[in-house]
Amino acid sequence: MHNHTKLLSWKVFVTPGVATVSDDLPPGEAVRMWSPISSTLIYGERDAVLVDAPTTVEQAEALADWVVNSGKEPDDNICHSWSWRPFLRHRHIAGPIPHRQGDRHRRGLRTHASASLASGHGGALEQAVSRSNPGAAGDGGAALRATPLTWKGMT
Amino acid sequence: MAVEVGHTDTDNTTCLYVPSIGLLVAGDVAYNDVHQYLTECRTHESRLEWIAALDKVEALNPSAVIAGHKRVDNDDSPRIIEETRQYIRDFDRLVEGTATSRELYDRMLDLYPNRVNRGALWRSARAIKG
Repeated sequence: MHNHTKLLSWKVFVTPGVATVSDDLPPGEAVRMWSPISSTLIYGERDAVLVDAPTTVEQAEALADWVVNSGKEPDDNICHSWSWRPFLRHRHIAGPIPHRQGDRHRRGLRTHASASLASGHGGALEQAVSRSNPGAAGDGGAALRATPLTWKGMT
Repeated sequence: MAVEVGHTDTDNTTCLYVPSIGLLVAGDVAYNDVHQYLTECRTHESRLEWIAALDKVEALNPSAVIAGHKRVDNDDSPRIIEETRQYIRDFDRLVEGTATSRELYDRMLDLYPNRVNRGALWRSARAIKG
């Protein structure tokens, strides 16, 4: 039924930069900004991978809305989350969890702000990809879930 | 596939490459019109390491490169690999040619007046020059 030779596609969502707290403002600037952050959705006919997440709950919810409303989001799929942001200057990463179950029209979105990371350097990204449970979709519904990331080896 | 590229904006960094569609999701290895985070590139050698990482991913010959930090609405052209490299070369040269963080910051802004987030440049300059 499915054409498994179909190429993958991708699209990018950019979370705009937001103001941050700093006691060392750039000369002539009124506020210290965070750079805009890209999140990439790579998708085929059924599965999708979400690469990189923004930092706050609000941003993650906007990303989750974009994923769910992308129109390219595959049915009864699995969404992995991959991130190369183990670097600790960010200190925390919000794992966006677009979570759609059952009734298409009663979309539920959950967002987990998670994984407060210890300070320091040298942590290795222990588990970049974690697989969600496709069985959570229930009776014929669709589940799209990007699971939070976990790290080990922080010092 | 994961492409380990070593030190770039920080240690032990990785890109994701999808060979079938020529897509490189570069993380913070490549920037797209945003001031780069060079705070953890305090030595000339560390800046060369970042440039070498860009050489490595360029050799994959990607058709699209997604920067972890990009100007909203910019395209995802592979040209950002060279743009990222040139920014590092310019910064590296000006580190030697300037005395203060303010001077380094101003000289970089002369070259890159329109990149997003001057705060990132200021932080880089402060890390090098105090």
